[in-house]
Amino acid sequence: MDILNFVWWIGIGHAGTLISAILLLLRQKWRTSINRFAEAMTLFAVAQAGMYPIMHLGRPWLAYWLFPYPNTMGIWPQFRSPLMWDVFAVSTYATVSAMFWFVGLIPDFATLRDRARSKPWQILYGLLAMGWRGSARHWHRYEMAYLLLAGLATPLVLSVHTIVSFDFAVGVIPGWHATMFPPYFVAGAIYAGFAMVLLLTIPLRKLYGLEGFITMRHMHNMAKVMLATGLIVGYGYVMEAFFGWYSGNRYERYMVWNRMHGPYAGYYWALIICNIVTPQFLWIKKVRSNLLVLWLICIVVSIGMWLERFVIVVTSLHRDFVPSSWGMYQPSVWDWTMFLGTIGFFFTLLFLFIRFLPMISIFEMRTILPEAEVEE
Amino acid sequence: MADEPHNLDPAHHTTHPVVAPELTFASVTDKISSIVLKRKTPLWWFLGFGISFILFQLLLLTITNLLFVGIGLWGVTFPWPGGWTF
Repeated sequence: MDILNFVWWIGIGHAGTLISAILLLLRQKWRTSINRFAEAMTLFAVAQAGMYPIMHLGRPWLAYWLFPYPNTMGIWPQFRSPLMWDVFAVSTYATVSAMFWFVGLIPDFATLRDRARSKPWQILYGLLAMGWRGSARHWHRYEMAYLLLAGLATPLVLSVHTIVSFDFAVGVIPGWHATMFPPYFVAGAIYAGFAMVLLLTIPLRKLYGLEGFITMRHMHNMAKVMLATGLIVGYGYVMEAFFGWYSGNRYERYMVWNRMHGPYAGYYWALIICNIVTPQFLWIKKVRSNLLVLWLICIVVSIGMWLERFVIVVTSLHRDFVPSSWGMYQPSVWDWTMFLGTIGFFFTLLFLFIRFLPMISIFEMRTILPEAEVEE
Repeated sequence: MADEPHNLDPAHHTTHPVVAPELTFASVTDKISSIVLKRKTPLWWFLGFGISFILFQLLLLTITNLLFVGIGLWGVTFPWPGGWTF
């Protein structure tokens, strides 16, 4: 269950950088109201994901062995292991996302520093603002740094889940060994990530009265991205079944049959309903405009994406090449407590974030206001 | 049909605005910074944070237990990847 939760959290962590970096480079103005929040969500989700491989080692206190550090024994990590690739992919993604998030916050920290009434908050926000004065030189350097970080983060959106998909694709287990996995996983990650952004944005928008900042345009756009990526994911499911049949490989064919008719068939059909059938309602404008229905669809998609990872991991492993190793998997109580615990940790960080940091970028919001338009 | 003229009515093509038109520089700064700087924290925040924090303690409990018991906690009784419980 560790590996599927790891993939689920990493997937959720994708939307933030996509919204921040890729939509910035594409000059999409609508990203501005949600980018800060989505970036924070990315960081917190990646933090949860990063815990799983470490706990999964069984000896978490030796996790530093995964890094290629100089040591007297001359021991080097196994670079052919996908676990190693994950270490580099996830740590790079987390580092760049954190830098991008922090750099984006600097002008807003300065605003908070200038507006805070109590001395401790002035000092704290002042330290975080790193001496920002808003001079032309500051803005010039800032814009350059932000754009460069966006350029750096953009390929990472694609690379991280590609590497995560390699965890499976380099294995010979039926159902895993497929060249389609990288794009299929990246689309699934964006799909799950946007579902989570909407899941959190809809109630927060209402509770804080941010309807003027996060408008229905955002809701429609995010729903459309979900619909598009959901269709790619659906194509992936169809292709998985097709490859199983077309390969002529009896193990691959059995894997597909086992998914659809085996002991875990209920999970498979539930994920089809959650991930393929339910999002089709997003074609309808009335559904996209009804925030309660949209929110419920996002919950269904989030559950569906968890089920997808469960099906990929468990149905392939529980009946592999050797019948003597066949069996049934039931997560233990401690698997569930760990999963629920990471959800708790994620929301704890998120609640602290919305209380103590500006969840919408103040200075970027100003740039898209009608007031900011310059007549030429 | 190809011969039919396109609907040139601007209202036909209107989409939702990116932000509410009444927002100004000052109102944006006031609204967002007030969420962070105002003293009174809403009750729902405490409720949400409290539930999340309790769940978070479950994670700490699990990790502590894992450190004491080892991977047998997941039902692993032999050194085979995946942590299967047969």
